[in-house]
Amino acid sequence: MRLGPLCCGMVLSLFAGTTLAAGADPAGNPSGRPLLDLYYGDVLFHHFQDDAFGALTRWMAARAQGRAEAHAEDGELLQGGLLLAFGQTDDALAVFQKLLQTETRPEQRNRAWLSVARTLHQRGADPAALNALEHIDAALPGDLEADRQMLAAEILIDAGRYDEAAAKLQAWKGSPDWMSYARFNLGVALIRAGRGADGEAQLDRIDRGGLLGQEQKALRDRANTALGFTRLQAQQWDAAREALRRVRLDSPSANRALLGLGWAESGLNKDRDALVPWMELASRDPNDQAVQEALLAVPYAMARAGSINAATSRYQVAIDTYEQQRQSLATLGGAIRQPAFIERLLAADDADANPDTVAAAARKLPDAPEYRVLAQLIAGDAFQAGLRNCRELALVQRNLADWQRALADPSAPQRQALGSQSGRIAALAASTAQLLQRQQRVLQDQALAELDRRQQRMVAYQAEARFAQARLFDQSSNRSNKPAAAPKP
Amino acid sequence: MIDRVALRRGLAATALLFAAAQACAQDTAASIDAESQNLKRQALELNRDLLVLQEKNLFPAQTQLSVFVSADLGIFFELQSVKLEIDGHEVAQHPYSPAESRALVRGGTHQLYIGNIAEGPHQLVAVFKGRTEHSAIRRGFSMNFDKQPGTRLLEIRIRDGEARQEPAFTGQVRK
Repeated sequence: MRLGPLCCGMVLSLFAGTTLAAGADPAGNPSGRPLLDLYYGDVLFHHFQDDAFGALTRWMAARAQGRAEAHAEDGELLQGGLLLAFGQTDDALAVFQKLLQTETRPEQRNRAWLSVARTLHQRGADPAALNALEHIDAALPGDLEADRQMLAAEILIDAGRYDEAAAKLQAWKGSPDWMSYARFNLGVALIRAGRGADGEAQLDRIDRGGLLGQEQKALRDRANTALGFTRLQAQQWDAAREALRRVRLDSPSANRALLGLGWAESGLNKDRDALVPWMELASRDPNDQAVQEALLAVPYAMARAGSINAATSRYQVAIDTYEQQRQSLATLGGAIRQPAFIERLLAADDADANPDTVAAAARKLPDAPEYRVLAQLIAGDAFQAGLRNCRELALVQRNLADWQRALADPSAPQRQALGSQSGRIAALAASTAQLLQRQQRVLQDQALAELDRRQQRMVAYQAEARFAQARLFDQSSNRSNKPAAAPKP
Repeated sequence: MIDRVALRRGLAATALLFAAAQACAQDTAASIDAESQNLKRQALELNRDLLVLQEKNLFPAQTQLSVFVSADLGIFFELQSVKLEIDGHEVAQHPYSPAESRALVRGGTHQLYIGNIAEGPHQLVAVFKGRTEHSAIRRGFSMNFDKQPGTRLLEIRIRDGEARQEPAFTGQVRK
């Protein structure tokens, strides 16, 4: 999962500043604010409530009736943003590309180019996205400039053009918080590409960036954890320990960091010291993979430190815990197969339709084991994209049901006026229901596959614990069968 | 201690299978996304057509009257509800959510009412309920207007009043 500071809010913030400015009619206005075309104002009324669907339908109806002419250009730009917010990337791209043929105001053009670039990047057309970014010929206002630089860095990272991405970050203008996300992504990408030292340098700079906000602190923890594990792989035990010790104990990265810290101590042959982080970790939530690994690591360190009996019994603890985990995972499949599994996620999602961060998305999960166990999967980009699609299809479904109810009511005036459209409404409602069901099933299948992977992991860890325990039994029985060794001098 | 090599090999094979399954899942996700975009486009177009048709059939231009509410406020005022009467008959009532009230303050206009009305002089009365920083308030506003041939648009605007921290209301025929 790639890290980024904002998800949904950015799309519409592209246009928030433009919607009231141009095309207004100052005539006859007794107060300060320019008078808007009332129908355009109605579009904004819905847009300002994050109701992209309502705003789009009103804009489209207004234009079909020849209204809001004074706001035609701003409205088109707004329409592009609303289409993006409603997941209509193809249509949004077409709107922006058409707009760019006629729009002459430099700031609006630059905003449109940024939208085109982001949309193309989401669709994997990175060379075209970079080309679109090159059309931006002046700094964009506020966070949009940071967004532009971040997008450019992301595309270069994805293309493996790491040095160019690093140069972009070097020339960064704007909030350092944003740059830290790009730097983190670059650091990880460099390490994956085998350029460990360069990647380390990027991650190290995040740590020294003096980030103070909660989310920034979490990012710094993540960078130090990644840095620590890179150094562990290179068997630089001291350096790894130094990075991992910087991770806060209550951080989301703390479990992985504690695990790594134990391995660093163990690498330095300080097995008793390794037990400190590992014992702490083993007492945490056994749903976490790092905790599960710590259950194996604790008896490993005990055995290395010569405490064979303690190690044997800790292996038994691990075996029992894995069994409990496996059994409790096995009971969750039924809940995931229910339609309510997705519906509850959507209900939690509706309470805060635009969570700014993945962490925020994870915090508002329904309180049930199937969600807690799958929190990481659910917070991932692919699952979230599917959920967004479900939410939009469910919205369409409710909208069509409202029309159907109105047309079914003999006393409703719409019945007469819109009766000719009832077949069209019914056909679309049926297609929506089918597609929504398919989308929900895809998400449920992803959740079930993850559940299966976790169960397999429990089986594998359990086998590993049994094997290690058996070896310890063998060792101690061999020792007891041998004549006592002479005490060491 | 533990022979991790065999275990890792097993896990690597599982990872390959997982990667293949993921590629398949991505295909499905891409196909559903394309179908969803197509379906949502149809839904937007259908709603556009329904709104246009509804207005054309139920509120012909000759008799149509629309009333909008807008705000231009420097003071804090949260609109909670508006009741609208025309010629002594209640024709609309709308409770405003905090999000709707904020949308008005940010510059949106709310179409409170659309209906039919005969040509000639009429009186509009609106009763606003809401709260300022200090207290709950209830204020009435009235205006006379002439309905002439063609669509008539009225705007009631909430703005800063003369009295401290109190909203005032103005009405305007926009078309």
